[in-house]
Amino acid sequence: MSVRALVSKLVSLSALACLGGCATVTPDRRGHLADPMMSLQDSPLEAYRKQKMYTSREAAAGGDGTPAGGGCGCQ
Amino acid sequence: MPMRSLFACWSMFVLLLLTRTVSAEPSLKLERIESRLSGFSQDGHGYQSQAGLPTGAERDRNAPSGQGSERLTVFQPQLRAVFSQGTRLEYSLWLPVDFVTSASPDAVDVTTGASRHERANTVDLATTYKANDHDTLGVRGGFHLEEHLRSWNIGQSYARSFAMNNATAAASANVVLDAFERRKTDGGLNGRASRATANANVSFTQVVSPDTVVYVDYGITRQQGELATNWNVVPFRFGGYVSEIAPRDRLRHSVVVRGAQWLPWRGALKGYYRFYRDDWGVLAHTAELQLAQRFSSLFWMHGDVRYHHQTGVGFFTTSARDLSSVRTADSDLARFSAVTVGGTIVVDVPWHPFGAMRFEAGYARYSRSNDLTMHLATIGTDIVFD
Repeated sequence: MSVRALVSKLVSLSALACLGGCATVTPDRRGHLADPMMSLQDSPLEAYRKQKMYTSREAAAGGDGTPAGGGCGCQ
Repeated sequence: MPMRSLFACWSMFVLLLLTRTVSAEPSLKLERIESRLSGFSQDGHGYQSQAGLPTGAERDRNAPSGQGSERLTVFQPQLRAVFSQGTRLEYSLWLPVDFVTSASPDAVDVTTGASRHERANTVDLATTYKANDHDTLGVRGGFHLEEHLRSWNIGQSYARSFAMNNATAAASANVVLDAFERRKTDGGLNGRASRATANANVSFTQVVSPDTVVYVDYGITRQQGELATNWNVVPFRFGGYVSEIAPRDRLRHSVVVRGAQWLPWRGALKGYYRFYRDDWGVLAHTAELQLAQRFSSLFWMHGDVRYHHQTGVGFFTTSARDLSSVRTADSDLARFSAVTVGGTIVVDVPWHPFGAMRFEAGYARYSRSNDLTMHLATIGTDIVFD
C-alpha cells in the first residue's frame, strides 16, 4: 500500500469515526472521558518537554498545534 | 512580510480588546501552579559536530573521517501559574529554562569553549477569553533568549464547541521571528541572520461514545530566512570542512490523528499517528501508543512506546562536492528511525482545604538508528486551588 493510500485511509477512517459520533453523549455519561488518563492532550509543561526533545532531534517538526523552527535554534 | 505585520497588528488589537474587557472584571485569582523538572542525558555522534575532532592546523592535515560527539546534558526546570479573572478570563504565565552542557558541537567552542554551558530562557504569556458557553478566544505572546539567539512569538486561537460539548472545532495561527549570530566553521562571527515562521492549524475533537474520543489536526508551516544551523559543518570532499547551507524557504505539512479508548478494567488506551511531509524531501511517520492503568482513585501509571521514521532531506551529504550548493551533514536531517520507551507514575493527593495536588515521575529512553541515545527523567507537581 502506498503512503498516500495509507494516509487517505487513515483520514477517511477518522472522518467516519467523527461522523459516527454525531449521536450525542450526555454529560452524565462522560465519567470515563473526564478521567485524566483519557486526556488527549498532554499538560502544557509535558508537551513543551516533548516538543523540545523531539523537534531538536528530528526533521519533522511543526503542526499538531505547534509551530516549527522558532526559539531553540532548531531547523 | 506584510502578512506577518498584519497578523502582529491584529494580535495587538485583540490583546487591547481583551484588556478593555479586563477592566470590567473582578480581581485575579490564582487557580493552579504547575512545575516540572526534567533532565536529558544524550550521547551519540554526527558529522555536523566538530566536538572531539582534530582542530586548527592539526585538522587541516587530516582528511575528515569521523563524526563529532553529540554528548549533551540538559537540565530543564519549568514553572507555570494560571490565574482567572471572573468566569470568562484566564491567564497563564509560563517560564521554562534550559541549562545546557554540551560536548561543544557549537563551532564557537572549538575555538573558545564559550558556550559549553548555556542557558536558554523563555517567557510565555497566554490569555483565553470564554465569550459564551461555546466560543473561546485565545491570544499568546512570548520571547526566548539564548546565548546567540533572540526569538519572539505571537499567536491566536479560536475554539467552538457544539452538540452539548461533544465536538470542538479549533483553529490557531502563530508567528515566530528569530534573530541570531551567523558563525563560520572556525567559530568566528560572520554577521547576523534572521528567519520567520508562520504556522496555522485546524483541529476537530469528537466524543464518539461514553468511552471513546478522537481528535484530528492539520498543520501547515512556512519558514523563510536563514534556515541553516550555520555552525554545523559538512565534511568537504577534498579535506577539511565547510559550513552547512540550506534553502531559504521551507513548507511543512502535518496531519495528526489521536484517539483514547476507556478499558473496562479502569484502564485507558491512547493512540497517536502523525504524517509529515515538507518540500526539503522529508517524509515522516510517527506512531505512539500509551497504556494507562488506574490502581486507585489516587494512583495510576502509564507506559508509552513511540516509533518515528523519517527520510532524510534531499541535500544531506557526508562529503560536500562543491562550495556553492546546498548541503547538510546534520544527523537530525538524515534518514533514520527512532524508538522511545518510557513510563510515568501519577499520584493525586487531596489537599484540604486548599484544593488538590498531583505528583508525577517519569523516565524515557530515546534511541535513534544513526548513533544517538538519550535518557530522560522528569518529575512534576500540579497544585490546583479551590
